[in-house]
Amino acid sequence: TVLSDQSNFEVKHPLNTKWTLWYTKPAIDKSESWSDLLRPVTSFQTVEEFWAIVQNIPEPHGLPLKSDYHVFRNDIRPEWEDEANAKGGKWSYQVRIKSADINELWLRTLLAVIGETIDEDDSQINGVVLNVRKGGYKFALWTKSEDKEPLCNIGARFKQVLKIGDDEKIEFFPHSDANGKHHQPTITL
Amino acid sequence: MVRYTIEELLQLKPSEALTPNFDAVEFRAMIEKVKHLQALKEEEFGHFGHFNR
Ligand SMILES: [Zn+2]
Ligand SMILES: [Zn+2]
Repeated sequence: TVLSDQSNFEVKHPLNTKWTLWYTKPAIDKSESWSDLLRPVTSFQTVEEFWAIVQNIPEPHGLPLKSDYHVFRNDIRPEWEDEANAKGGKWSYQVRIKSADINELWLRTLLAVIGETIDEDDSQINGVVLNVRKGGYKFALWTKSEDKEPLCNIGARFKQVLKIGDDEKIEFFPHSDANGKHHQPTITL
Repeated sequence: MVRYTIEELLQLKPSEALTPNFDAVEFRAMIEKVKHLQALKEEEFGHFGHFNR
């Protein structure tokens, strides 16, 4: 029976896929290259592992300027050169609210991504990124394609998760244009 | 596809902190060091500004 099996008391809740947390360390001296700064921290594939990680790392408010958190599916690198990202783009939101709410909004975004309630059935989302900058915090959802229909569904749900009203916009930028001089959003919601 | 709502995930949050599957003490120490070095740099620039006035 279930009760006679001790291990059932520690049953874990599996996530849909494995995720990896990456951290970009701000450069302190010029000798540090990008590969020194962007590093995987750890991976998780259950709800319990996720909470253990989140409870033990600084919240967004506790990170130094020029830091990034990246949480990416499976072994996708959080760079637009990765072949899983190359044909996709990102939904980007520049947070303009008071900073006290940043931690909660970032947690809600993470939960919506790893719980898969923001994604489509064919897993459009490759990862989620937090940038800590002088001008404020930026959240981005990285997608594997530029297909307008699934992207608009994801974008609408992203706005709900972030509790964004009609007065604020999120913008979609394709990675194919990431080096372009006039980096303009192709969709605004 | 395995799905959990935000509310379901929050209900699964343990009341006591669990031990993570990596060296979180080292990770937090690295971040504290960066914050300290950034603060020192800020101070240096502050001194420069003061000097040039
Ligand atoms: Zn603070
Ligand atoms: Zn001084």
